[in-house]
Amino acid sequence: MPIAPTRSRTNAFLALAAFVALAAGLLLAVWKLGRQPEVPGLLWPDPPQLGHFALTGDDGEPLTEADLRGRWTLLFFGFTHCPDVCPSTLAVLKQVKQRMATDSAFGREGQVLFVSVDPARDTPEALARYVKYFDPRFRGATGDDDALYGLTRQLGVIYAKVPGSGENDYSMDHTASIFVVDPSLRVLSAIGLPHDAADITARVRAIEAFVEDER
Amino acid sequence: MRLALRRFAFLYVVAAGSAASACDGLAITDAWIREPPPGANAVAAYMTLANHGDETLVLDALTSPGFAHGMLHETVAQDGRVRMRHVPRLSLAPGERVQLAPGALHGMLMQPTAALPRAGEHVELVLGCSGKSTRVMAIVARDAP
Repeated sequence: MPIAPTRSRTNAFLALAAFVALAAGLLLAVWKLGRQPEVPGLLWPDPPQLGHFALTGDDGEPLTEADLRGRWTLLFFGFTHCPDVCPSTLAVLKQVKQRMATDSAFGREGQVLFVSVDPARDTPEALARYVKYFDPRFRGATGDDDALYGLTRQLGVIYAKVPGSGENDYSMDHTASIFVVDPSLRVLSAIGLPHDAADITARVRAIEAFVEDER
Repeated sequence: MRLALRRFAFLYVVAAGSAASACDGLAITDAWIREPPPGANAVAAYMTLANHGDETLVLDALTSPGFAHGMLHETVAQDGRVRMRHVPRLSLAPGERVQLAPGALHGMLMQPTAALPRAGEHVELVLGCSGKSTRVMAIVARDAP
């Protein structure tokens, strides 16, 4: 006879504990969800996690996801013969880096990585000359279609060759978003056109602050 | 070539607009060309075009003596992907203004035949109207987004 009340008390306690845990979880979830709109364009929760890829850097050495680990990266795809969007966006990214030079993790030790989708014309040497014209610390990388696919498929990036008047006179259509990758390889945003230095600076700052706050 | 362009830049202003031409009424302001990064074989030109005349203007050519080819282009962004579209003709109604700007409509000069301009230098740009007349001007190269 004395067993029954004890068991029911235990059950009641368990039920209460479960309810409290559930309520706390819900509150936390709502609180986190509620914070999301503060950072426009943030891929959260569950940002894509960058996995393995293997390109060739502008120094001729392999460039893999390991080169992105431990620092913030702004990643942009294009080609050096691109007259409008690519040089414009790289000049914008140069300004972003200058604006954030001292007061952010991206500015202090982050990197801008320009991935060429035109390996036939963009040798590592050509890429190095091109990206370092914008900023000596910008990095370039490329690879054959298979190597590029190792990265592009993870980001939903597409590109296509568009024939021109001659064999060497072609253009490339390409995804023109700037991908914001954090030091643990989470892809936290894809910033589309138009690219404006003040806007991108504000977004990257907000994303950095959000991640810092999440820890 | 570059030196010559710099030295005689003022001449283009004098040469601008032949008498009673199809380009009459065309006003071009804030024209610049992007300083080409190393290795570039195509350079974009930007400007504001306005039609101050009473007739519709039709721009159908954009070239430069320092380049084998030139044309009007438009960067079209769709689903985050950009592509370039050749614009064979650009019509400006009386009073209309059109901006040629990064990421939008722009002039594209391809296959340089002379040394590429550095920031601060000028190149000659030739705009053609209705296949009949041209407007010639010197536009400055800039290191800008």
